[in-house]
Amino acid sequence: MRSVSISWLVFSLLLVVAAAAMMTGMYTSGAGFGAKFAAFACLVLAVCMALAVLRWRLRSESTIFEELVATAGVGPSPSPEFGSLPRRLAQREDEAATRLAQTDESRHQLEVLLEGMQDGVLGVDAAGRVQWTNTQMTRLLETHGLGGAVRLGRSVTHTLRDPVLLAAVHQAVENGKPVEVRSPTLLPNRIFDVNAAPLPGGGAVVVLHDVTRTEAVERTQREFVANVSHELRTPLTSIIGYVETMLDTEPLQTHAREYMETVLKNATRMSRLTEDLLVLARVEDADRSLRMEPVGADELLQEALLLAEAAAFGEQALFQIDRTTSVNVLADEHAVGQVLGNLMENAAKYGGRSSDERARVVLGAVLTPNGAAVQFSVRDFGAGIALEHQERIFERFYRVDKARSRESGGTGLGLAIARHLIEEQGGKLRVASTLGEGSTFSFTLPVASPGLTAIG
Amino acid sequence: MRTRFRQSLDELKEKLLIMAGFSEQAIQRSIEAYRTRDESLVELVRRTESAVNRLEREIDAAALDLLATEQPMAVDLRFILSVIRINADLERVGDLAVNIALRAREMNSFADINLPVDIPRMGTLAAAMVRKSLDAFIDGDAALAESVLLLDAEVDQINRAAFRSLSELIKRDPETTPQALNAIMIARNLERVGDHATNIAEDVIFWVRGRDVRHNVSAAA
Repeated sequence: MRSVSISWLVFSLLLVVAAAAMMTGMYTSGAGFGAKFAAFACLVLAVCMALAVLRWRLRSESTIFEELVATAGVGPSPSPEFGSLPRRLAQREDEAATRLAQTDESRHQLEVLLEGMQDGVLGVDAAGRVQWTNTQMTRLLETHGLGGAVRLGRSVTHTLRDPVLLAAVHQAVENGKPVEVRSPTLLPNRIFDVNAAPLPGGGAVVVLHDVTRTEAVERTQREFVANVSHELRTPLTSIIGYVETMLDTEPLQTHAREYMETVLKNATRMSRLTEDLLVLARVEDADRSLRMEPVGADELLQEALLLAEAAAFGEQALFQIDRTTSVNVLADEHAVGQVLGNLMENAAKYGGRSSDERARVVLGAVLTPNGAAVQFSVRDFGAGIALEHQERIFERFYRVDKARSRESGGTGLGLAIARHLIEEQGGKLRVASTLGEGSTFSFTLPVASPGLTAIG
Repeated sequence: MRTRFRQSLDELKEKLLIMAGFSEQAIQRSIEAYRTRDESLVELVRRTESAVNRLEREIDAAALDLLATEQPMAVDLRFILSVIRINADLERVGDLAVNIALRAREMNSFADINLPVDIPRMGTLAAAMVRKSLDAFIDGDAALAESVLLLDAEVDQINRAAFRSLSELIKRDPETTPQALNAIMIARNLERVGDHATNIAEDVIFWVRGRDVRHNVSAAA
């Protein structure tokens, strides 16, 4: 079709040229009027033909274009397979608009949340530059930082220079690990909890939580408990001492003896309670430091077993040592002994199927799969602890069964103390328990690296 | 080439600010050690001191390297010179913090008596001077640096007043001599922290304006 039209075009153009040449020849050679008219007519005809061919060609091309448009479904007569395209395009547009609105909305919500926070927040990019912040952060710096300002787009050091904060940010950005530290030197006379969490695309979010007030309240509380416990202990010592002497030496009537024994029992319980409170106050005091030394895991278990068998609760249970490792752990021997003793006493008291049955308690110490720590465990086969109590038993004075605890003479502080002591040594105390099958309390202690003799 | 030089200058500034963070922390902790009689803080201040010393050497080496390899001119030259001087001042601030902490510890072996001097207030003021002078350094803000120069007079005045009242106390009640003497020393150390902050501020003015205002406060103000 196209080649035909092109040859027609070439042909008519040749005709034009020939006619023109003829005419030129005739005019110059002085031909007659008739010949001149014929040549002129030929030229006009040739030009007309050439124009006709051109026009037809243009038209055929525009038809092709129209067909193309029609096939694509945009034109006036869409073909069936593309017919839904405009509708679908419109639909997509609507969806995109809705999504954009949703994104805008959640962005707005996040901004409101960020602004409403009582904590200062900084967004840091992968190069350690502050990218965004909230009003509270600016306010913190203005109030306590003596007119300092958040400098956006610049290194964190241009806003805050506290080494504790910088180390946390560095760790979160470089190692991609969340960090939580307390800094008393971030701003003058304030204590802050610094949380630095890595962002998925690099960089980190830093949250500064002011704990100055909480810290002061906790400190007062600890000091109060320590002082009161100390004051209570002094008179109790003389009460217990005199009652014991009276029971030993004085001839007493039966009921008088009974009364005195009740006094002794309760005074002893109270004395234990004050003792535990004092210990708790001491372990919660951050200034106190443990003596960490390498000690064999099996030695710790043996020692605990000997002490337990000699103790009053030793009668109530049968203790066994299951699997042990002789690997050295880095620990405060006295503190671990205290924790194991407490766990074994609990297992002995609450680990029996009934109150008269002797409980079976299995101790163990095994290397963790990565070889970096030793996991100690104390397992009983008693009634177990319901899930809702499992986390709360580590709270001070929390009791699963109040009546039973009172009867067994517990103070409700043992596990709180144990958890503190383990955490201070870099471990974590956990419980796993199934009702009717028993409970396993376990904690890990880091393996002492070879050649390490003592750490202050 | 020049871009790399700019980057090196930024890195130098970053390092100096990290070091400044340590020095400021040491001052804060030493004042806290005095206020709370907490001896564990004294140890922390001493540990910070070694970090400060290491950073001082690193910054000096980096600054000298830049001077030798880039042969900077005008404002860049003044910037590097200021960094070298501020670096030395910050290291001294770290030393003074150790002095204060050690004095505070010494005071713990004597009775806790009421002394006629507000060390924490003086400490807060001196620390604020350091902070402000560094803020001026961060932003190249000569006007802020000038305000630091004015604060120095206040710290000096508290120091003189402390000296007067504490020496009177010694005369009146010789029993209190150890505590009063230590307090005099701490006040004097804090006054010197203020002096170093003033030096930093003067270096900032030198860097930004190319004008030496040392020993001539009125010309700057």
